[in-house]
Order: sequence, then structure tokens, then C-alpha cells
Amino acid sequence: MGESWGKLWAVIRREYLERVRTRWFIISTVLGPVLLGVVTVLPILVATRDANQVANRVEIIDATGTGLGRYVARAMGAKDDADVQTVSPADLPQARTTATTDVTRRLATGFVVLDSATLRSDSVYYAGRRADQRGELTRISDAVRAGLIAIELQHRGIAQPVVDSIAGIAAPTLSTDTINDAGRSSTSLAKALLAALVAFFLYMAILLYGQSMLSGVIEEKMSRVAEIVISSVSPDILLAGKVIGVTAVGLTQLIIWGAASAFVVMARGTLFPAAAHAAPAASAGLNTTAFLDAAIALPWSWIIAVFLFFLLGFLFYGALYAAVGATVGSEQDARQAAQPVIMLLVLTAVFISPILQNPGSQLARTMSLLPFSSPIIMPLRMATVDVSPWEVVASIVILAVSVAGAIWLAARIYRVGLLMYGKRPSLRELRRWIAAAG
Amino acid sequence: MTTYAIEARGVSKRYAEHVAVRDLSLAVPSGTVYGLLGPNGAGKTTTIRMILNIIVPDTGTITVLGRPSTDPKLTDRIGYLPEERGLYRKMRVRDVLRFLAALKGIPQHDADQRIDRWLDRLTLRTPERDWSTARIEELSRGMQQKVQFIGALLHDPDLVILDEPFSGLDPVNAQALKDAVMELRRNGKTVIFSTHIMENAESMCDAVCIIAHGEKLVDGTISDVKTQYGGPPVEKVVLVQPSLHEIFLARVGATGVEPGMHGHG
Repeated sequence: MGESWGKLWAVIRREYLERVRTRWFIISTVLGPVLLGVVTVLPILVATRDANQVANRVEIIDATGTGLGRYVARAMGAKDDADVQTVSPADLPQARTTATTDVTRRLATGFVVLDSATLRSDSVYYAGRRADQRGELTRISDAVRAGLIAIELQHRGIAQPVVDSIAGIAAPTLSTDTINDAGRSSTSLAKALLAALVAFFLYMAILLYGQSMLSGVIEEKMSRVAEIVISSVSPDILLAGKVIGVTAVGLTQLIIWGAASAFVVMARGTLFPAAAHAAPAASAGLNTTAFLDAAIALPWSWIIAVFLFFLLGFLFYGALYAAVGATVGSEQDARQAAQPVIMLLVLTAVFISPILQNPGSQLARTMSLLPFSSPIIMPLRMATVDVSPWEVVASIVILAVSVAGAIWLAARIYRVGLLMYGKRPSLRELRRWIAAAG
Repeated sequence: MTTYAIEARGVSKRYAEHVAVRDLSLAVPSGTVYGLLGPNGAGKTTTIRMILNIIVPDTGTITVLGRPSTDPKLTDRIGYLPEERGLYRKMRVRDVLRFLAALKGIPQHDADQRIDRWLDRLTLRTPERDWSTARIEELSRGMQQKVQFIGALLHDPDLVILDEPFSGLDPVNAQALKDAVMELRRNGKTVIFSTHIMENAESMCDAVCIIAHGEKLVDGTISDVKTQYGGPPVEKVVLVQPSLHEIFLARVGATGVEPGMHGHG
């Protein structure tokens, strides 16, 4: 047994050192966070900047002849009526054209048209740069509704000061908690984004390392080194060594990135001075400090869980990729043969966003238990809602058992596949390989 | 009494479409050089892989160095050069050899000394050029083959199995390998090699086994095989045309004439 350990160690060592020494490893270690930052954090920063610094001026074109525009402007937080333009219905097309020009020239972000249909509470028209932002549209329709209430009060003969004071009631800032079976927990957009970031990172890492594992196995097989190696160690040990070696490389990268992130979190005051001074109520917690505060608020148990899921997820997919590698005869074949494994990963990634919106749903719970998706989905759920400990334990146990199963299965395919150089085996032949190696 | 490095009894291996080896029995005496001879596709490689426990025979038993071939402890006592050659292309020569040594349980400092000795001997490390730091992909095919040969012998195995060891080697390197094989024999090791080049078998082997279509046709010591299957010695009278060498010398008008050559032009 001692000798086997020594050989296993030799395989792990080679796999690890040869990978860590490559240019690919160094480049991906440096560029990984940069890339991830570009696709995730940058849009947040830009959005925050946009919200804080560029004036969000909405022109209000009032063709109702009732003074509705004035109330709407107040309800939207304007100090005076500078943005309100009162026109007759006949002049409306001209006013629209002018307002459109203002928006294209960036004098305003958009304009609202109030007309007779608006008075009937039928419709209100908005055109502008934020037509795709739910938050902005809700803000506008809320303001119009407040304006309509004020006009209605006026009609019913309520004294003007009273109407003004009612119209001036501001919408309070909404703060939320999530309640699930386990109880109540706080949520924030920043926290959700952080969770998505981690899930996306796990997905990318597993995908990239899986491909790297695949080409490593194919190289070993096609260069025929495999035959020398398995005359010295059993295919099971070779497979286990490769999977562990590749996982260790992934962990090395994770630790480097983790340490770098920890540094950013610790030094956030120095790194993002502007964000640190920004008024916290300005936007719904969506700025850099909130993001980093969410990161620092994550408990140790979460970090340990992510580490465990990462480890097991790597082992699981590593074994599957290695098995695929053993069945194919060339890189081209590999791309096709790896499709089912990649599909499992992509399927999981597709559900990141829906699960983020509803982390307590049946779908989310199921996918955080299934072994092919739990390494990505469970950390995602754990970062957004309180997941009951038994669910986490069950997920880890299922995953661990599946890892053992995947390695067992892969080793059997490996044993036969490594010496087969012909065409790809059919599913029936694969079944025979697995049975034969028993 | 003869001890056997390998004893195979009634070994068969069947694949989906064909029978690779059929009811093969053979015995390789310890301390000899044994030739596994046969045409391409005869089942030589399958036989070797079964001896190495890389594939499992359907029927029959194989005993290697006194143990069942499935005993995992055996692998450290066997050296193997497969017919299909290849190494990790991006790795450096010394790292590959260290890895192969580690797979046989040789610790690194020990391995380094052995690697140096072998690199010197097979001229992969000379005062002009040290190939040990080169990547495998920078080596010629012949040099890669020598590295693999070293890898098969680093752990000083009791049994060495070489599948077509001389194919693809130039005469100088082939001779270096032959010398190494004969030295192994002097040191009491058992060497099995497969080949379809009969000259090599005749000059090196103590005993041979000829197989074709997965079946053994002939086996035994060279002299036994010749007596049994070659018939009585025959006196052959051979008339030979002058060799190219002789013609060359004659035309160029060189003076250095080897004994037995004629003429000055």
C-alpha cells in the first residue's frame, strides 16, 4: 500500500508541477480576476457613477391643462417647475421633437408626456435612455399616480396647501428581508451580485480546468506515454493522481485569487476613496462599498463551504472529463465527446440568474442537491439566503458519494480506453468496457 | 534445475472481432535473452501486455518472477519499452526520467545519479551538449527512443521487456542498445524482446518463441530450434559477385585492400 501512495504522489506531483509551470497558468491567474472584474464589477461601477454623477433630468410635457405636470415634477423630487413644459394638445408633436433632441444631446435622460389619456389613468408615455430600467419606470409611474391623486383632491375642493402637502409625501426607502422556511434573513443587491460572481467564477473554473484535463489525458493517450505509465501503476491510481493534481492546481489559483480579494476587501477604504464617502442611501446599496461590505459580511462557514464545493466539484468534473479523454482518439473527437459533460455545466450556468431571483424555490433546492449542479448552485444559494444546515450537509454527502462513483466509473473506462486507438466507442461498447474492467 | 522468469500456461485473449492470442504456453529461463518472433499482428504485443498485467487474459495463468502476474509488487521489478513510443512532449528529459523512476519507487537523489550514468552512456550528455535539460519535443526520434530505453532500465529491473526495440534506430544507436542488452544478460537479468528482424534474434537470443495468428509455432533454445526444425546441417556453396565496396576500391584505385579482395584495376 505504501508503494501505491508513493506512485500516486509521483503522478500528482508531475501533473501539478507541469501545469503550474506553464505560461497558461500564469496568464490565467493574472487575467482571470481582471476578466471577471470587467464582466461583473465594471458594469456596477459604471451604473453607480451614472446614478451619482450624471444628472437624471426628465422633461415633463404636460398637455392636460390641469397642472398635473407640476405635481409629477414634485413627486419626482424636483425643487421647481423648470423641467415642466405646459403645451396645448395641438403643439404636442412639436414639443416631442424638441424633447427628443434634448435627449439625444444629453441635456435630459428622457421625457414624459402627460395627456388626456393620462388624466383618465389610461396611459402615460416615456421616451428616453432609461426605457429599459424597471426602477426608473416605476419611479415615473409612481410620480404620475401621485400627481393624479393631487389633481383629484383639487377637484374635490381640498384646500391647495393640503393638496400640496399630500402630494409632497415622499416614498420611503425600501429595505428588505427574505423569509423562507428557516426564518428571516437580510438580502441586498450587492450580496446577490457577489453570489453570482462566485457562482460564475466556479462555473468558469470547472469548465476551463475540465478542458485542460481533457487535453492532458488525450496527450498521454495519443503520445502512448500512458502505456509506460500503466505498466508501473494501476489505471485507477493514474486517474486519481491526475484528477487530484489538476484539482490542486485549481485550488492554488483559488487561493491566490482569494488572498488578492481579501486584500482588496481589507484595503477598500484606500482603494475606493470616493465610494467610501458616497452617501449610503443614494442608491439601493448598489455601490462598491456595499459590494465589499457584503463580501466581508460573509461568514467563515460560507467560505469553508465554497472551498469544499469547489474541491468536490473539481474532482467530480475532473473524473468525468478524464473518462471522456480516455474514450477518444483525437482533439477533434474530444470536442464532440465532451458535449454531454459541457451540457451539464452550461445547464447549471443557465439557471444561475433565475435561482438568484428566487433562491428558495423548488428548482433552486433541487439543483443545489444534484451533484452536477450543486458545486455551483449551493454556494450561490448560501450567499443569498439562509440554507438549513441539513440541506448543505446532504448536498455535500451526495456530491462526495457521486465523486467516488464518478472516479470508479472513470477508472473503468480509463483502464480499457487508454489502450484503444481506434474509433470512438458506442454507448454499448462503453458499457462492456465498464463491465470488463470490473 | 532451470528457474523461469516467466511461465505462461494456456493463455488466450479474445477481442470482439478476433482472437489475439490462442492457448499460448511458453517458458522463459531466468538470465537469458529471449526472442518473441513473429510477423506483424501475430499477437506479440498482446502477449507482452498480458505478461505486464496491462490487460487480463481470458483464460490461462501467467507466473512472472515466481509470482502471479497480477501481483502489484511485480511492476517495480520489470522494465518495459512499448512498441508505440512517446513521452510527454513538453517535459524536460531529466524530469521525465525522474517521473518514470518515481513510478518505480526510486527516490529522486538516487534517480539523478542513475540518470546521469545512463545519459553519459548513451551519449545524451556529452561535453558539447547536455540534452537532460532539453524538452522532449526538441529531441530527434532516435534520441527520444534512447530516453525511453533509459526509463525502462533506471530501476535496475530483474526482467526487461522490449517491444521492437531496434525499429527506427540508426546502426550506431542500435548497437549501443544491443550492447546494453548483452550487459543486462551478463548481470543475470532476463531480457525479452519482440522483433521480426531475424538477424537480431539470431545474434542475441539464447531462446526464441515464434508465433503467428496468435498461436505458438516453435519455441526453445536457438540450437534446439535449429536441430528440431532446421533439419541436418547443409553445406552451401555460394558464388558471390564483387561487392560495391570492392568495385569502389577498384575504381578509385585505393591501396588498402582487405584480405580476400582481388585486383588493382
